[in-house]
Amino acid sequence: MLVSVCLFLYLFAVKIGPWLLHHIWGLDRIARVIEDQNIDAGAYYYTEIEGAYEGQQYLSQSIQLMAPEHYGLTLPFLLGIALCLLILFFGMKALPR
Amino acid sequence: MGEKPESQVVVDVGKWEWSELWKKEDWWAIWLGFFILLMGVFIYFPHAGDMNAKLTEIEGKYLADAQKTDKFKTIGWYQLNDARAGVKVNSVAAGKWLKKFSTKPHGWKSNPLDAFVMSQEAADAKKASAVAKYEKVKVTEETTLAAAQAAEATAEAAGFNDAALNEAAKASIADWRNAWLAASKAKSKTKVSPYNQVGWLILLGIFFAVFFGIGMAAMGKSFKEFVIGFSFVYLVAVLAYLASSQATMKTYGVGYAFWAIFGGMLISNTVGTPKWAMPAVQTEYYIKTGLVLLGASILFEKIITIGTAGIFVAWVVTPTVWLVTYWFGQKIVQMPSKRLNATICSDMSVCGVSAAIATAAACKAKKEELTLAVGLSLVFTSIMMIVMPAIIKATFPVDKQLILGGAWMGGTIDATGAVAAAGAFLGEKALYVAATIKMIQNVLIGVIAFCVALYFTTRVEVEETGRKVGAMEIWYRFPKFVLGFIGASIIFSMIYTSFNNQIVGLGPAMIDQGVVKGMGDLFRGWFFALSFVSIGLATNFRELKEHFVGGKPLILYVFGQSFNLCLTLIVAYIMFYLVFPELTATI
Repeated sequence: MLVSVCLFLYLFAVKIGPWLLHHIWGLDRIARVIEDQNIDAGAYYYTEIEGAYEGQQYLSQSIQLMAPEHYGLTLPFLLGIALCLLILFFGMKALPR
Repeated sequence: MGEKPESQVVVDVGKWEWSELWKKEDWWAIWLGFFILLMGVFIYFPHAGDMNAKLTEIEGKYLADAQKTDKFKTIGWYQLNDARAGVKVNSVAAGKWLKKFSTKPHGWKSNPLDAFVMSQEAADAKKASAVAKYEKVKVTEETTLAAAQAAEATAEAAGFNDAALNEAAKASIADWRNAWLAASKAKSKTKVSPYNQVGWLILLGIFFAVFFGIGMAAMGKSFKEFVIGFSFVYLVAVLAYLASSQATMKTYGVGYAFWAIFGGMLISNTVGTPKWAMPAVQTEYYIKTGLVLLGASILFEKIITIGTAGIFVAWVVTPTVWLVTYWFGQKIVQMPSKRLNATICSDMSVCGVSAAIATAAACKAKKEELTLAVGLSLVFTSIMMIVMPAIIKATFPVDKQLILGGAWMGGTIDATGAVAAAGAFLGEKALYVAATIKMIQNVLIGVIAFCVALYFTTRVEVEETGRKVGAMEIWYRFPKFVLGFIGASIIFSMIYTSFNNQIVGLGPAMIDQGVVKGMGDLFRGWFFALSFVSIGLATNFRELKEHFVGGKPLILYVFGQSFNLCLTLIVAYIMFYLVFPELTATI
């Protein structure tokens, strides 16, 4: 069984999978983007993706230089954090026993 | 049969002893995790002055150009952004060596040996092909840059007061950015060099065996038996990485977590896990050490990246979805296990596998429960990665596809890799928004894991044992590794902010690219892979099936994700287009 499963997986990787890429709607285009931009679609965490780092630089510089009044610990921002903590505090207290 | 007298009932009364510091797995996870992080500090922090000088030079060169106008992002603005992003402390010699030392198997298509060895001839051929492609896109980039410079100069000559000229410059700069993106990705593929990874993988395995073996010996286990068993667990982890680095699997987003669990289960349910390997099947030990490393990347300053709109999408929607789904699981679906319920809630509402690992460890979930939650996440992530961009393209107004679509995908698709792929499918801005929203959600893992640990220690375990617990008992039961996890997050968040206060970009250059990417991340993935292999090696299909009875976990996941999709879309629309449209306009 171990050998047959391994064989099937190998076949899927080199034959069936690539064939399916062209037959599942939209998948071939996503595959091309992943290949062109060298994205690890299997990454689980933001530090494993270069786009997260580039996005952070791009967005923080955008707001810092073009709308500085919205950047940093503004009152609405702190309200958002307070709301999150309040939801968690009262939500956890209200969870069913 | 009469009731047992009080004296015969076994009561688990907590008692703190200082020897726990070197006898308990939780504490060893903290010591080992911090050892790695401190090594990162010693290696990279002496280079802070050089990084500061580079960033100062970059500011001097581009800042004035970047601030020429607030009507649109100038070429100087982008050059400042690109130059800052290029400052990375892990490019020092020690960083390069560490990367080589900890590298996972390379990518391959049909011959698995390509993952371990590449000859000089093969590297040269690959490089020649990549260079030819790069040369082609480089010409386009240069042409579009010249056009953008001309358009910007024309707009500038009119004092940036002519709306038509500004729009023309903006469109021209956008064309250049698209060409620049294609050229920079093509350029990164030209860096091909031959490799032989076999020796490095053996060296890394020996290092891990000694690294974890010391803790095992201190906890009273046999060092020798652990090392022997570890060779097997490590081999399966290498095979899991080998499978995940195959081209087709990469495209489908089937990562190492799946292959590690699957490979382990395949062995344990067919030929059986060898008895001599069992001393190294230490799921929690590896997972907790990995989580302490993960803590260092939970940097609180990152949550301000996309302003208030981002915090509402990522930090208000997520706990709401978590709590509503947990309530639904307990009251409506009547999940047989609160721990499975909590793990699925985190995995679906926060960020998939990483959140599932942190929550499962914080609430002491069973290995099968973590496996189930991870499996559900992987399946739905693959589906959502393909379906969501297609829905956005087909139904969203064109002007809202990038930002609203990006925020929607970032807030709902579980795994960051799939978020990036789906975002990139729509465009560069969608990728940035989606990945940033996901990053802010990632930071929430620390808060959620802490709350879950507290909730299970003070509420669920009290109900299970039927006894009230005092502060000392709570301390005794509390999973201590969470302290290391939160501690690493707080310490490195503070350092990150203090670097950024010196000069913009120093925090990312030193912490993101140094201690996190140049140290913690190099090992964290391996530790999680080892823990997933351990889960697989100790699980049988029958046990797993029992947890899936009635399809309740699936119902819970589908309900939670549907609610998540609706709420995220509504809140993202309200925040980005009704409450903060001026902020959205800057993106």
